[in-house]
Amino acid sequence: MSHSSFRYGNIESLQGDICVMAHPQKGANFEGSKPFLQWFFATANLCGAVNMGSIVTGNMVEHPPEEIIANIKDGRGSFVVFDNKDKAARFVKFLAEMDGPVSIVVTALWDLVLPICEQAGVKPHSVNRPVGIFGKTEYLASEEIRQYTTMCGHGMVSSKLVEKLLADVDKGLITPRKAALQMARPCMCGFFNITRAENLIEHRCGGACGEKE
Amino acid sequence: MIINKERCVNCKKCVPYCPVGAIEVHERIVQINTDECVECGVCFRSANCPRGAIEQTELDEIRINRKIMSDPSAISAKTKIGGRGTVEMKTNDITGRFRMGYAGVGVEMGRPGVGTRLRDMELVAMALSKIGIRWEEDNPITALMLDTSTGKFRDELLNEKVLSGILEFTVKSEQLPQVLETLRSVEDQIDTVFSLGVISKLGDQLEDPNLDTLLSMGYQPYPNMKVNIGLGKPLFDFSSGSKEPMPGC
Repeated sequence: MSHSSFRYGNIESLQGDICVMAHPQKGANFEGSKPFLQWFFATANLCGAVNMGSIVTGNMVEHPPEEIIANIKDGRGSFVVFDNKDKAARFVKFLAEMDGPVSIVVTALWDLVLPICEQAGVKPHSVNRPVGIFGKTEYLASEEIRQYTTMCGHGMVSSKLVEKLLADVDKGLITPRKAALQMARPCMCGFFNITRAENLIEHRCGGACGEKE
Repeated sequence: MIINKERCVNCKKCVPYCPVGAIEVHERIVQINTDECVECGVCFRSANCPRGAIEQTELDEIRINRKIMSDPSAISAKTKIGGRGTVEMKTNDITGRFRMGYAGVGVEMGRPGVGTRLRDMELVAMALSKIGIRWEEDNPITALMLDTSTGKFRDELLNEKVLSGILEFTVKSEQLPQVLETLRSVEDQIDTVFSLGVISKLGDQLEDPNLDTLLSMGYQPYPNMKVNIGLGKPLFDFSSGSKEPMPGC
């Protein structure tokens, strides 16, 4: 259902987090959708997507874009993420001009989605609005850790892995970039925003973190 | 999942990868707690075990439900698609599944990062069934219900643990407050969390017809959300006012 929503973080951080997915529909455009999905990935790559993927191949950390593009199959959800509103807006404008048959979903701050749609000349149709998390919320990882783990809506990025990698950065064992790439690996769909994770880690240690010589 | 004891060198590299903490270390021996394991496959795919000691075992008809609800690459026999729910509003511009005057509701139990036993899902499902919910037919959780009028699950499934599972349904907007009250009444009875999402078809002025209900009941929806931007080629004519989807949906 809503695995790109519920991304946790402050407004400033979420400004650099725009997910775009293409999702074919059975009975409408499922069969024969592969060429469009290949175009979707290829264009997103040209527009500067920081990660992409599908469950057919996996994500961009472990597979080059060319492999993701080549392997996508008819009917599969296809996922890309941008770290910048302008890049995402350019991509969505291309999507609108392409006028393909497949449904497109953008997950981001509403205040970003609106101008992105306006620039592309399209009108938001439906929303899935995250209302909140309820129940035994004391079981949740800390707010800091959830900024990273919720970037994989399927829950593939464990809080323990994030904690370990943050500790490794603190010890000077790895750079924020390497830690962000390691966090992104389990997220098969490629919605994990590597740049946002790297920025969060940099911010956390005031820009003074990294591998020791 | 299991760890092959003959291959494992107890290096513990795999331990932090498990989303539900099911890889445990007892007296320096690494093992998977199969009662807690949700069969998501993250350890198998991502932990890069240097000895190839993590193995996927054959899953019986009960345990396979863990994998379907936890591993995005698993395919549900019911829906023939991967994932824990349906495509919901992702293709609403094509299907017309959610229309003005209605609210789509997704109660994703176990998310984020906690996991849930199916008995907790049954508890919520039974409470919602009492107010006359009609469950989404193509949802893999609905397929586990013994009786969709009561929300009762098969007893042998109740102890199964999954990473998350989505209870999905659509109600008329005027019934949304009753749904929300029901969820409030059960949230302290479950031993997990749920993420609540509400789906709306936007109006001509981009107004969300269900937002006022959420705000008036004290909810503070997130500022970020999923937005279908209307580029799909519709099978449903939203302007016709028809209550039935176009053929093929």
